Amino acid sequence: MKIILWIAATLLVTLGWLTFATTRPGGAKPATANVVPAPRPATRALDVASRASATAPELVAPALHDEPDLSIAGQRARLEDRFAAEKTDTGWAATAQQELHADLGRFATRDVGIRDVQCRASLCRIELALATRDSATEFMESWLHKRTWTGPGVADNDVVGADGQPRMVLFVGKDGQDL
Amino acid sequence: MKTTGFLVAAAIIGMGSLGGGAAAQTQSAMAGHGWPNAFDTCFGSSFAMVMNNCADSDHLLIVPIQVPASANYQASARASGSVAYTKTSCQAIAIGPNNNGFSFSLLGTTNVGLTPQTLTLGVIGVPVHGTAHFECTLGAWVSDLSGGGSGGRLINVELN
Repeated sequence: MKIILWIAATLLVTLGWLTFATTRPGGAKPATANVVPAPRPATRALDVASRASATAPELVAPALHDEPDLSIAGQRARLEDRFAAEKTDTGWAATAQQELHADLGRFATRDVGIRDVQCRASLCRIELALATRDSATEFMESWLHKRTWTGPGVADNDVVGADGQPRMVLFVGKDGQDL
Repeated sequence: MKTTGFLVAAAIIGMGSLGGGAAAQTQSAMAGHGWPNAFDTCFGSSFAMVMNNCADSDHLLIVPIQVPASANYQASARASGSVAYTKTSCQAIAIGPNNNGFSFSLLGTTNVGLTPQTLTLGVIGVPVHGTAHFECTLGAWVSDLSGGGSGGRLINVELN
């Protein structure tokens, strides 16, 4: 009887501590979270991955609440790998490239030029030449407010091209499919 | 014995409830502002909800939202179109700490009509020291047959 009471009390104290630690701002996270920056599978991530499995079965979409070291460069690196591994769906890729050229082209200026648009099966990679990094933010702001492309995306304007000039790399995905 | 059973059950149920991850962050539309004019007088509000009261065009509402930590979040918005013809579109955007990059959700759009809908916008990755906000284009005001009318509406936005 005493042992059962003791176990129950211990569980309640642990519960109280965990509740406090996980709800306060900047609350304690599992110790392993800080040493595993790469995405780990979660239920939702697996759902997303399975939807994309026709073209890239090895790839795992980002897990929710799982990346204490998440950065734009890290997101771009993950998408570069995914893009490199993806096979091309010729029909979708051609249509998407045409659509993106038209959509992004409306906002191209002397300071922001479209260098390259490549699409595969669910993902497109766009490279833009920049006069300055500020011109990239102006471009993104204008485009996001008026875009006709409805899928999600990630843009990194902290990229330097082989010629030493600033670049922005933009990945966009199919509508309804998480990156 | 009954007390012991209750304590054990309460502890087990309580432990099970911890598996849900971080709490959802919800922000009312009322906390937002217009763009490019922050004090856009076309917007009117009623408690949490903001509506477009101008018939000239759609108007853009920006709603910043607090993020507790860098992570991938499921974004959604509760919105409706106007009484007829015009709709409301929303997207969630995360921005890097030095304006050095963006993660944006899909662009979700309501139907026409005043019935509120939850727009599921997919996942955005909020980087370390980054910020997040929602951008919703509220459809132009349209009159109804009774002499009244309404524009597009946004009630709240959520990161989960």
